[in-house]
Amino acid sequence: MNLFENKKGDEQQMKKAVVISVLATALGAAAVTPVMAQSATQSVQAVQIGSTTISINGTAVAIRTIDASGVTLASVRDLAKALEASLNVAGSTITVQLNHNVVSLNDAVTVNGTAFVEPVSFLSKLGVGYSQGNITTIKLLQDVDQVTWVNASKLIVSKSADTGREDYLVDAATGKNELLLTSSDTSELIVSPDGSKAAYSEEDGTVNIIDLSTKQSTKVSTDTSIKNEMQFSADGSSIFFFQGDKNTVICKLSLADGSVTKILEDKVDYKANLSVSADGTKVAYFQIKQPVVKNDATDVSKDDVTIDPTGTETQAYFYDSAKADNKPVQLTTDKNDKAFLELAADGSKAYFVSINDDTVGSVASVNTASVEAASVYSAEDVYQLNQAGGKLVLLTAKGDANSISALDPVTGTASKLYSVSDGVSELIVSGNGDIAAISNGQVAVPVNGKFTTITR
Amino acid sequence: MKLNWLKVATVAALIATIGLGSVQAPTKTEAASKLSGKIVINGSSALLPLTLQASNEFKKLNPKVKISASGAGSITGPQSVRKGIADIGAVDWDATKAVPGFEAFTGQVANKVAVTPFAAVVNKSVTATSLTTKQLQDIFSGKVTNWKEVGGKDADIIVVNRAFGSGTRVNFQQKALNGTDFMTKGSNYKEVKTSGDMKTAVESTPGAIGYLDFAYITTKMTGVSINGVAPTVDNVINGKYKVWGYGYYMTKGQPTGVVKEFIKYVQSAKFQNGSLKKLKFIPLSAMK
Repeated sequence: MNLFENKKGDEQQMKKAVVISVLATALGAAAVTPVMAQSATQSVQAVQIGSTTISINGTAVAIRTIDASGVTLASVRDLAKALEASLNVAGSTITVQLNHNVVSLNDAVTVNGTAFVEPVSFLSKLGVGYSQGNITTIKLLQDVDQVTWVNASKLIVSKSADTGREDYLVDAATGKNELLLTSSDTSELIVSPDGSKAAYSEEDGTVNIIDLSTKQSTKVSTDTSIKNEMQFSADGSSIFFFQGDKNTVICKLSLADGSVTKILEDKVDYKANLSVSADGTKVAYFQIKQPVVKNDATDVSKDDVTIDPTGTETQAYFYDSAKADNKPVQLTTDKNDKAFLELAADGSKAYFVSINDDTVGSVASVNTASVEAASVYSAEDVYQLNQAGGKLVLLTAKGDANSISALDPVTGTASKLYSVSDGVSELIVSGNGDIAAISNGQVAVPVNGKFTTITR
Repeated sequence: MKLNWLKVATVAALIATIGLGSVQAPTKTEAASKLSGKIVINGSSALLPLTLQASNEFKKLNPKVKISASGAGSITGPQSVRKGIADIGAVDWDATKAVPGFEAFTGQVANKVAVTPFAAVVNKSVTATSLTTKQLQDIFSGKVTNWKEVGGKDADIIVVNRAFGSGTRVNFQQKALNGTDFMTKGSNYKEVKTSGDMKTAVESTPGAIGYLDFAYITTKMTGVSINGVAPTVDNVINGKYKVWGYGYYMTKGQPTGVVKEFIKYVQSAKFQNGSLKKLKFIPLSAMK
């Protein structure tokens, strides 16, 4: 329920973004004494004082509210106290100051001596940010492009800037942020499993490591090949990636000496979705094939062109580098589309989302030794799969409800972690199981069991 | 070690339903993850690496969208769209307008997606790596057949050309050769169908010269400076290097639905300044 929601007015959408949950029901009717009798919203003659809990900089705070002709008003004193703003009353005028922002109110509604005000415009005038149920005096990042976990309490959030890209370290509980790196023509940051460092490639393909404590970058490889889908090894000592503009070769870069070793070179272009076992010896990936096109350009007007997609369905492949024969094993042959490939830590199984012709997603697995396929989960329509600590974290949909669940890949048992809105389009999951959700372009993380937005 | 997600599960058990949304839930068509459908893309082989990289990234955000992409040459892009067998025709020129050899495709919309720089490239054995426009014209028309005539070693020149219908060929002929005709046959002439075939031919044929977009240039070949200007992204952006063109996604009318969303992704700042640059294309914004 949205207690700050006006049922009419231009700010309706904004108000919907502000509230959270009700702590207590109405306390009882009381007479209303308008500070200024002329105000339209002051014509209410009897209201109930309620209370709502809002999150201010990540801390839950109770705020008294009243409903005035469909407009939810909030206690000026409660808001000012929660925001640690100064409050002065002089005659019929209430003045609230937060930092450099001063708001004078002479149209507040008083109930039993307590002044209430329409909160959204009041907070806006005080320079306070609010987004999806979260009020903050912290300047939240806006219009972010990329998110990745550093550790349980911190993320790296990236956004485009005039000069290229800015990467920020962001507190997961409050959204408080500090600039980590400004760069241009660099790849997205990938974070080491222990959260101590991140890596990125420059325009020329060389690779830098940035220490997340000191924010100092060091070049660790002068290899200039194009590197896609870079990811740290489980022990953080190397980086795996697809090499070349067509993702033809799977390589490993040693952070110790910057050397690049080819793991798989089968001369087949367009690999995707690289996943590596914990010991770094086994890899799985999707192979993307192109339809066969035949054309006769003698007379262009005839449009004598055909596209034959037969046999081009995305298929999963597996390669054990110990074999060193550059002959990957094809794990799948079915015609379903596939997404989100994850190789088990020991390399024994590959998991992925299998999408049938009706675009319904389910979780499937393939034993990488026997190439035996199995259905793991199909109770709900699966939209995303991530691996975390031996479990699979799923974003699923059933009807109009979306859910985040943890799936035991051995038993196929799913435990629902959260029910979330239809606007959740992506999960960001760390190797330890920390979850962030992208909802309508904003980043939200669970704080005390409740998803709170930490960007705008 | 107890994992974080297990802690989360405990909390979740106490709180039955947590809405991320005090924000109004979008309609199904607005929620990115709810997009579904199929997109067939065909055309420019120069743009194919870009298209497939964008496809990989778009699919992670929209797993229910199936994308099939092929690169058989630019002209097959708008042809496929006109024939109704592709949703997007990737092409290296604005196919709504006539270019030498090809009429305009009416009823289609040219959606600009990238700046594609092209370069003359020579096999590693070739030492003449800086040529004038006149020398390039003479080489590709067959007037000059030995590298020593343009300052190189005494070795035959092998001209590798793209087949008729290639957008790379259209751009190279217009902008590097100022419209001069190509030779069409001879013992020192090869014709290939795709950029990938061109790359292989130039890499593996001593004395070869051909042309490619920057994305395909490898360490096994050399990009040729033209009139003293090196083929670099910086020289394209600063206006010194003229051999480049816009890459387009042709659609039948204005794009809609999943096709519109895919094109928006390719045009987004995230993709333009990220993967597109990494693949040696130039963001659209750089040329404004």
